Amino acid sequence: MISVQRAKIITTKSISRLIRIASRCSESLRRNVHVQRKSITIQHMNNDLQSTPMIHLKNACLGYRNDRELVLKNITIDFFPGDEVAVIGPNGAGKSTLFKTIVGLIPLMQGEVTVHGGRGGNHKDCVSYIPQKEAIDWNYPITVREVVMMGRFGKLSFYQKPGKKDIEIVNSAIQRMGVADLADRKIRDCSGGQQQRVFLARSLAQHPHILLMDEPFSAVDVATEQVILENLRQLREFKVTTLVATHDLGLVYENFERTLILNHRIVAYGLTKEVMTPENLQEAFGKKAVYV
Amino acid sequence: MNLLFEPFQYDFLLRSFAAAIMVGIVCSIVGCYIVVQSMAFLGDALSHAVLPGVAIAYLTGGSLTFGALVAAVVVALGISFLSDEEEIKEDTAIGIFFTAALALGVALISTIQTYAIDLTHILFGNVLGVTVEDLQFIVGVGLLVLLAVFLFYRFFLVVTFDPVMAKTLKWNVRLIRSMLLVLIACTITISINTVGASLVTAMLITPAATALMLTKKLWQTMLTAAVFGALSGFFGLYLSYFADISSGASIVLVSTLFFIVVYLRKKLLNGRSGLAKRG
Repeated sequence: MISVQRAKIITTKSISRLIRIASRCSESLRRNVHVQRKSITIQHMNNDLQSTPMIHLKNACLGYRNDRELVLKNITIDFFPGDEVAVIGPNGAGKSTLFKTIVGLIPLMQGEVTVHGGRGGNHKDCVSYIPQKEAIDWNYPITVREVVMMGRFGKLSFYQKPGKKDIEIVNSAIQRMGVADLADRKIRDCSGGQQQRVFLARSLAQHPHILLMDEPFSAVDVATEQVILENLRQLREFKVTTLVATHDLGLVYENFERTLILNHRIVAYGLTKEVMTPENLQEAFGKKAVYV
Repeated sequence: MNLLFEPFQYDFLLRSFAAAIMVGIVCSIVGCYIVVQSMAFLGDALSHAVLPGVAIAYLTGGSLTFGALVAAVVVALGISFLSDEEEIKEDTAIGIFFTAALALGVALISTIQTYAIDLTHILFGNVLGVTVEDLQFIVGVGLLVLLAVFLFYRFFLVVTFDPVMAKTLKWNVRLIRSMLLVLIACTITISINTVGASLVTAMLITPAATALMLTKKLWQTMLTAAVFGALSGFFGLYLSYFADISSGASIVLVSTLFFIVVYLRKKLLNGRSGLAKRG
């Protein structure tokens, strides 16, 4: 079922999209200095066009060193360019563990994980990860604009200062997330929803191939929710693979094309309308699961 | 009037002023990283960890300052290594290393009979005894530390603000953190002559905390803290000359005074704007 859908997407892929991918690839080509890196990128350019997976997990066992039990066992799954996936499941089901393993924050216990053709990504900054809010020190002397500028750091060499182009990209990301009037405010003086917008703006400025967001919709207002969803839709146009962990099942049903249901294993993965069945949700969340 | 300029007639006092101001600046700037990370304990720990280095240097007849530097760097790297283990949190690692180093220092010192005077110098500083070589060491190492902060500003910024992001950018977070710890260790070493091991924490924390109340960006915090640090060094020493009190204590007290003034000013302003809002 999935592969049929995939084939459909490939055949209907418009020429303009192909051109966009090609230009993105040539941009990353210019970034790479070494000849060896170049050949890898060309290979990836071809692979991209054939739609090889952006994230590839094969028989992967995920968890922490100290835990006796693994959090996720024998996971095999592929995510492709442009996939917009909601990751749902009860607390402790392994959503964050999956993200952390993909990013390379925690070591892989067993099996195989490839991101954009390599372990932890092919480029230095092709993966952007927005952790849960608690993970960041909010009392830091830093302004909104500076936080967003961090998204450009992966593209700067050691001695290089952010240039005109970087400043433009940062400004446009701030605009798109609707935080322009806060740009010179200290991050501590922003509300929770505003902070979430700032961090998505940083990810936008990074121009990632893969974006992972851990519960971006918890404790944000409706306006922020809409801005985040709107920008996720735009990222899909750029063939960015997006994984979003959330507990808001209604929001998933309305807004996400694909859904991954986790509970220490893959309960179901596919088109949201097809996998969000009462049976699957009950299997993941237990008997009391909410019906959509 | 001449009385006020009296301290500047003596070469040794000019050296002391130069040392106090330099230490004030470097401590305040490096201290910003400690304050924003809420790691005051680390500064305290490293400053006491210099003790075994000093004791060994004394026993072997080597340079006390160099011994202190080596000890501080070793303990800094040890903390960095140990806190990489998942089971051990960083403050636990600091606690273990710092107390072990302190115990080793005390054990070594207890074997020396005539140590009393030099020990006081290490613990409380003796800025008036700064030699030309001492000053060269303080200025040289201090400038190196400032240069490193300037060159690695971007890397230290991300690693202290959002280490997860630094990891996703595939930076060597452990290496950058270790570098930062070594910079703190160097800063403490050049400070023990002036303010002493027991009070150096204050010079790391207080000016940075004062500046933090007034600024929005890290580099602004650093520059403001440096001004407070330099002023504390200068006026603290000046005060100690006339009031005839310990120079280290005097410097720290002046920096605390700055903190209190800024804190009260902020409280008053906030109170006023709060009232205005309510009205």
